[in-house]
Amino acid sequence: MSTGTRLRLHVESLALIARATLTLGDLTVFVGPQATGKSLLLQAFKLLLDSAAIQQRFRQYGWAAEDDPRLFAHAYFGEGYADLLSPTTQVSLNGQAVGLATLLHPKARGEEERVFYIPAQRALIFQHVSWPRPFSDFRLGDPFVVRAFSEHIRTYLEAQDVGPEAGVLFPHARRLRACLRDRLASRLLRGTQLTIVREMGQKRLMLEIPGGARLPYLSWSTGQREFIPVLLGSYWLSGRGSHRAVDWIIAEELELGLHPQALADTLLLVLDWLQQGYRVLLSTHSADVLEMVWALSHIRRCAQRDPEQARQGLRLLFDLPPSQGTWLEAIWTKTVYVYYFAPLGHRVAIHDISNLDAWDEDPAVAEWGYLTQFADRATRVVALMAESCGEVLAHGEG
Amino acid sequence: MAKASAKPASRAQACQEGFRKAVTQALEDPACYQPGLRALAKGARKHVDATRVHLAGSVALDDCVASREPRASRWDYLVGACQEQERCLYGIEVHQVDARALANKLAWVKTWLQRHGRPLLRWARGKVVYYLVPTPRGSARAAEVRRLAQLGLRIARRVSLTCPPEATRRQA
Repeated sequence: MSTGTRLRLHVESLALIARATLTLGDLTVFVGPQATGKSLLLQAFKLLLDSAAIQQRFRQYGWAAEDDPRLFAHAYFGEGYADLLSPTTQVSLNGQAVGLATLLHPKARGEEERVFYIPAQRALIFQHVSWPRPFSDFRLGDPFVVRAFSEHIRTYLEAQDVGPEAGVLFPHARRLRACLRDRLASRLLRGTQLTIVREMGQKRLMLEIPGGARLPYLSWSTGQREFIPVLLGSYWLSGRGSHRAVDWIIAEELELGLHPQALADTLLLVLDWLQQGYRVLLSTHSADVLEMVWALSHIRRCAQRDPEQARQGLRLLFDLPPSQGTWLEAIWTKTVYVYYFAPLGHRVAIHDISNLDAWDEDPAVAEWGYLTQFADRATRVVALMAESCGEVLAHGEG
Repeated sequence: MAKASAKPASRAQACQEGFRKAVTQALEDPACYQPGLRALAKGARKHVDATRVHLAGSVALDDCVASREPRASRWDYLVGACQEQERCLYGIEVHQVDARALANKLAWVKTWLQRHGRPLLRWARGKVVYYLVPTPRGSARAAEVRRLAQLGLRIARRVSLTCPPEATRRQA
């Protein structure tokens, strides 16, 4: 997998996006208010790269709609999106246009997936028995990316040899980089073990807390319900040689349910993906994700003049001890882009805000797609109240 | 015994003396050098924790150059500190969080150091760390704070002097 590369993506007439051209780097981040098409564009990108594998997956479960774009859009993007693909929908990659017909009738058959998609609805993949649902268990009209993700995790878990009673999935000595594993174990899963348990022949995914009690999926914290599928997705990617074609990872809203500290630890996982050579697309509503991108861009620049200082910056950013973090240096060679999906009436414009320059004249850039707008407003209000009402707050002055 | 205790004391003395000479050369006014944190206004002094270093001295730069550059966006203070073999120069400004005003002040002090303060830069071996101690007035909006960070300005209600400065210390 190549790094430091860029891919030019051009779309026309896709949902609210009339026309947009984006450069996708090793790491690309989408921000913007709800319902501005971030997720639809990410799904369209997967469709573009994986149309043969997607069609094959549908056929595998006895369903095909190559001649009905509306039905296909309903099945792929989800219920309510039947009219998403129109004859005017155009997508091109590095200047090579791909029409609707090609997406619905891909020439290649049986290709492996190139894009691994971790959807925002990842917590919905579990059945009440605390096990992921199979692809066929979902309704037609449930988004394909959710069904496919659930199926990937289910098949991965089914393949694990757990012995007669139970097997520990996390923490596991042979999975994940040690410093990352230790960090996630202590700060995110708080000493619990993710375990596959066999009960009367039925496999269940449980969190085992110190002392031996086992919690099924519905008893997990919100953050655990959101994070564990991401962790299992990471396991799937490193599964034995079976996913060599995957070179893109899309992860939606990694911040869901997570305390900012836990999110920072999860972002280390993203950097590990980048270090392994994957190209990563994120969508987010969290300023913390952009804080990382902003800091990394300055660390990268510093690395050219003073690599040791840059190394220290990386360790400081992720609170790593001096002995750790050298693997993170791989990010110095990575290209990073950030896009803001700006609502304009019934349309959406996509702005490149990659420089994240706080001094930029454009507030969309300086305020990071307005992610910090409310925090800024609250700060202004407090300052105004303190000034106007003579309410000088204590500042530790004696 | 006397020899062993004299060594740190002489080192502290050398630290102060070196800084005093550099200040006097740069500002051509011996009165600009003040021992310890005495150059800082009382209200500013309590925002500086110097317990982990030998203080080399301080300068109220704003006051010292006011007559020569009355219209400039002058910087408040320079503070020298030593620890073992290290010498550190801190630039401290007490001001509200106003990125544009602070950008001008920072640009001014950097230019001043290049033009007039070379003895100080030599003393500190070229490394200066700049701190803003924010006053309650104004609002520290996220974008404003990020602007200051991009300028290389650290923000702290209490500046903890270390030498080498915190987070630029080389780790083993």
